[in-house]
Amino acid sequence: MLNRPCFKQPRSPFALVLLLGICLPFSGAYAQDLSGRDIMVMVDERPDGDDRTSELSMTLVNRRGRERTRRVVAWRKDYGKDSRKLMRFKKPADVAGTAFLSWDYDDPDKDDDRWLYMPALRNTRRISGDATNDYFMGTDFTYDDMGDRNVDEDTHRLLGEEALKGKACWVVESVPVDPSDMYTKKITWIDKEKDLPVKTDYYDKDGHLKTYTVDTVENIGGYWTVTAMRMENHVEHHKTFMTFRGVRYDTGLKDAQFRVNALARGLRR
Amino acid sequence: MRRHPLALAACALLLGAASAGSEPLPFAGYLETRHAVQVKSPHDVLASETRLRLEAEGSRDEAAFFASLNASESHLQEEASEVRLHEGYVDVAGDGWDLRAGRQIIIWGNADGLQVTDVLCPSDLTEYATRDLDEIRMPVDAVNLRYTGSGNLTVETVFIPFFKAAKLPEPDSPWRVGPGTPPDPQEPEKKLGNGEVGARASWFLPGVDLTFSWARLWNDLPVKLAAAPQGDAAPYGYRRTSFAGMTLSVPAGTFVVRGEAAWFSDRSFSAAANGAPDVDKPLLKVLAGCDWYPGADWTLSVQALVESIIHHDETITQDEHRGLVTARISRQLFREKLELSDMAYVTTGEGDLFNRFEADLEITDGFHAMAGADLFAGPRSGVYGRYKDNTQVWVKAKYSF
Repeated sequence: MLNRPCFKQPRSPFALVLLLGICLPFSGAYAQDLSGRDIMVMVDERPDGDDRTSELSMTLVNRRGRERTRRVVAWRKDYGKDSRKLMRFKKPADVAGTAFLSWDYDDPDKDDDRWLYMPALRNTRRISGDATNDYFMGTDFTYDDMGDRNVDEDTHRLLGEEALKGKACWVVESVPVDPSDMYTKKITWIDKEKDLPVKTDYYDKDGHLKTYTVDTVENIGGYWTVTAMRMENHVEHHKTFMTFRGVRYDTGLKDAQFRVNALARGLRR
Repeated sequence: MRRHPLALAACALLLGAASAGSEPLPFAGYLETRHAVQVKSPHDVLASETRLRLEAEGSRDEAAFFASLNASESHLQEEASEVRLHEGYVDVAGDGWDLRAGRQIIIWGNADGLQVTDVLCPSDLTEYATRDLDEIRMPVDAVNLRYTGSGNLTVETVFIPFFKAAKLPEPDSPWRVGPGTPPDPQEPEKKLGNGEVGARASWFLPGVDLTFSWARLWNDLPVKLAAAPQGDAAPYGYRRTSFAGMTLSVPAGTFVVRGEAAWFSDRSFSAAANGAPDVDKPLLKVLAGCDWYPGADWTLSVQALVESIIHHDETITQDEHRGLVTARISRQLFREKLELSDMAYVTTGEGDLFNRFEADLEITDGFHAMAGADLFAGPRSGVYGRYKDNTQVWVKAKYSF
């Protein structure tokens, strides 16, 4: 006897919650003579609470203006420099109930552990922990864009300082160490007061590919938090708007919530 | 005048959705219609069905419930239309344990499109393997108790009080090949001692998943229990078996390597002697598989399965060893609006084949149009080749809400 999985697997949303967790301390970095790497380390090491809960809505807009919507609830809990993240898909209806769990490790030589629970299959499957360049749920964000990219996977160069929307920013160029990376370089504007990336231009071998822009930053629970952002693909003329609601920090999420055996229980929607 | 209950239900659903405006519906589910046509002459319609699935759920504190209702209308056989409870269970959770009781689907194992350690729920084989998984797998009334209080170890126990047989094609179905079994095999008496029990221990650890399972259950397919008495039909029924299994999953970069093995104490095989009852032998199944996620929205998967009959001898017709290889490739395109996939099953002995190609297009959020082809090829003596007259093309539309 055989049977066939019917479910259209959503792409594994492995480190989205890291992106959801963009936050920063109140005190900015005022050190002088910072290198590009120094700045990116400060960005990487922003405090972001021991755990976080949020609800993410994504609106995908194609070149003809047609919209598609995705909605996800996400939880993150830190274990030292490692973290565990859980996402439950709410919309669209055909993927509602799908759950994704990742255990992310700070050690770049150690692959993350990832599992996907698909309600149609009533089963949890381990999936590859290796980052890919696939687009997350059809958005303009790749998994790599959203992941916990180690600072030393790129070489960073401070290009200068520039005001953006009235905010003083560092401008840092990051070039991947791995020549096979899908991007040839990224140029990021970092709010000097908040150590927060507020804009990134992505380049590939054909030129300027897409632009990431932060639209709204709020102070939630003592942490600066990006609550609205967008990614615009200049080649495909496709855009993704992301908004976050119900963001809460340090609520004491239980360890049990981030275990594989928790994926198959609980509400589907 | 023929009634169309499902059409009425669909209209009620749409009206309800319209009146609800932007408010979320109090239930979820899908409306699906599917139609399949035989490729070769006489180009019979092999399937034509519309199905409405309604799902409701709720929770309070540490308890939750889930219920799903299937309303299906066959456009080929009106008597096959039905409304029935698909699943309906309650979840109760405590500190380090949880319990699910009621009608539910329980799936063990990690094989892709094959059943090795997936032994608890019987299958609906009325259209062989051409249906979607959640429709092939039949729910059982069960109590499922899990202990989760020991870190990454989960111990699961399952009790299924009443036997449920696999559903076989009706005698006039194109999927009924050969003489088949008599329509009324004797089912086990509904008493506590005839229940099925199972247990599974699972570890989900950094870099490896491991499960061990055991069960005492009934084989879901009927067997010939004895030779036919003079002038009468042979009695058919079901036999007990013990089962032990294990699974393993190990990630390695962009790959995930999988293994699965199952041992059955008593599997029934057709006897070599004419008219003799089926013969029970132990059976071992071993599967090795590998999934590859190379990026760019490609997924590739290969599996090899070997079945070996223990204490094989001349009293049965089946070969001692039987092999099967599967390959699946899929790619999502246009920001996941279109998914193309193909999965092939090839037996190593007969060399027969089942191949399913599918294109799945997302029209709008939650609304999919699908089309595909199911190809059966090879000698008619093979497990797939016997269905070669049923090679079909199909279309399906599904709206999830």
